[in-house]
Amino acid sequence: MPFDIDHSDSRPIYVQIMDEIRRGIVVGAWRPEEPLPSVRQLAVELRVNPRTVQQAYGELERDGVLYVRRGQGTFVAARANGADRQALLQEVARRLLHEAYRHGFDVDELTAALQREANQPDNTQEA
Amino acid sequence: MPEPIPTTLPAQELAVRTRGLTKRYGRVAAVTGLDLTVPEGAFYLLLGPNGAGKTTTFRMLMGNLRPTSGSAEVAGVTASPAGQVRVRMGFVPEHQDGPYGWMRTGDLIRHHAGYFPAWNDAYARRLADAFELRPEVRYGKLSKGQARRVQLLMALAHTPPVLLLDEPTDGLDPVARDTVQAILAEHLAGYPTTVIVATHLVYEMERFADYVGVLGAGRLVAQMERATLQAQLRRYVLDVAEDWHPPLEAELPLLRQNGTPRERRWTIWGPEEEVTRRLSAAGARVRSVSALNLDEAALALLSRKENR
Amino acid sequence: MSTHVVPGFAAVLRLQIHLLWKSRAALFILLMLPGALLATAAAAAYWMPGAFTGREFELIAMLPFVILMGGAWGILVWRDEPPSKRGYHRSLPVDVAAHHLARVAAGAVWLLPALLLYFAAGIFVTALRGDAGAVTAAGPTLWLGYLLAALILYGMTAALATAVEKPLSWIVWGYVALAALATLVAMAGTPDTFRLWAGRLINRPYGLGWAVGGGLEIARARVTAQAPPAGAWFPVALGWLFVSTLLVFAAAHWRRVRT
Repeated sequence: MPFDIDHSDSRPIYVQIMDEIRRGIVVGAWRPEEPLPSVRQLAVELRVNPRTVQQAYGELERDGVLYVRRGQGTFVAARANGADRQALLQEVARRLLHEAYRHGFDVDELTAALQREANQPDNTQEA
Repeated sequence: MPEPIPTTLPAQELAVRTRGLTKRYGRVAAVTGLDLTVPEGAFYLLLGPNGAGKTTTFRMLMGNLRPTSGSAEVAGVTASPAGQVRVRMGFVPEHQDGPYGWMRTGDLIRHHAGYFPAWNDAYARRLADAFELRPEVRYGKLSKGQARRVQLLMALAHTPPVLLLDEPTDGLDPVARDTVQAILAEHLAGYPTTVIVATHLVYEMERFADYVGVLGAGRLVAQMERATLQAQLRRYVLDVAEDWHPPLEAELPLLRQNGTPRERRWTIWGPEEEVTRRLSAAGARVRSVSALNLDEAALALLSRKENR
Repeated sequence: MSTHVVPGFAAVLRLQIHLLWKSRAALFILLMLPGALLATAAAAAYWMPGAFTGREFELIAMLPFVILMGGAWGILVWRDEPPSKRGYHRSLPVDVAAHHLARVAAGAVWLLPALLLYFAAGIFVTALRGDAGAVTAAGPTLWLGYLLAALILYGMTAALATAVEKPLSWIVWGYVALAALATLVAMAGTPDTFRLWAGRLINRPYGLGWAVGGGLEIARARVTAQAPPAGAWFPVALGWLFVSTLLVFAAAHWRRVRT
């Protein structure tokens, strides 16, 4: 299975699929010109409605993230993924901020706490 | 005034349509005034607690139960006891209602196949392999999960335009449940099918749903696209004073109230921005807004009916 | 879409015939009576050889069993499938009434060879005992009579089993009720109207008893060179077969739709 769907997540499934594919491309799990699973394959693997996968693929194709080659399948588009990376980062930040607000913290408190966490020795990200 | 909760879908190609479908047993109404609209190719989840009227509705759709009033149409055919409507349907019942327990599974499937001119033998064999069915085992000796898989095979193999599943995963172990989900996904990818699933186990089937109908005490409390439900129902966590309540003019379609007096958790129907604005205007501090999963959404919609 | 057509009655009938074979009910009815007859004859031949030869026309003894065979088979075709357990049928693309009819018709299809086997066994045993002459003297009326008798009874019990949950209970309690009624009536002094109508239902010229036993009476008259009994038998038997068939049709449509 290329990735997992979290059914308790509030995002619609097709959005999750899109996000996961974008994430996969950004971190390099899928490289440009590489084939993606067909709609049928992905639907079966994820155990979801094929129309949902179709919707995700359709939107990603419209956004230029993928392209379809007739009779051969769906492939990752070759393009600068800087914009995708940025969009993904914003998404992560949005979720984090939402969590913070839910607990009654504001953005400054969150930023300071983030910095503290990052400076912890066991939290340094592996490059 | 936020839009009311929709109970009908806009006109389009409908695979299943009922008009004012009602079934009364003496004074007890099992189903009242049902206007079910299921678009072609939809995966429609019919939700509701046990006894809400789901099985009764299915029986009327199949033509096995005469409605007290109203009509039902499936795949363009009026539901009646004649065979026309059922030849276009695949049905997996909630309970194994009597296919011959003494028959070997292989024989039972062959017997069933004889009734459907559209039976696809090659597909049936593929499904039998995928389900790991042993044809020599007698049907009565199968476990619940295995029997359910056989019934699913029998319903899918003639590739009907409409599929009715009554509690398809109820009582199944996780592996059997997973197999049912995989086979369903595969079938939908290969054959255009309209599916109606009646269940109280929302969690297991919600991944497939693109349309939702909520049945409460025999009435359709809500009927809409899944996306609409997802977009219009939110849980708002509010910071308020203990004795706070919004003025009547705020007109908030409140479905459920939870939480503590100072931190209210309210489920409200309506566009998020609009509702947030009204809440703030009413003096509440909106700490967070979150979407609900289908289970919680159904519960909220059903609770609202009780509050009326 | 055009492939989604309702199967024809012939296809459903074939499926029911096959079903009765698979459930071994067909095998039972095919072998039961001939087997019992041959076994009894063999036992008699072995233990009572003196009683085995030179007796009068013994094929008469087959009638009660022919009737029982027909009646029992009507109930057997629906064994383990009372109306409450026919949920599976209701999911099939066939009208429930047509499905019921197909099952009963399939039963009739199996009944014919079963009867033929029984007749063959009877002729065989009779010939062994040196009574072959009596068989030819009796003529085809005998076998036709037996056939119609079995079918009439089959239709009646099959109709009962199609419509009610416990056909055997109905038969038992029905018999008890009739016996009680007859006793009561006899004790009260049988009124003439009762006798009249009971006679009409059972005896010549139109009664069920005549329809069922008439063929045998005619055949026996031929064998014993007596005057044949008066009263057209064959049309009456056909008439009762028609009544029996009507009952089957009515039962098939009973509770066609749950209300």
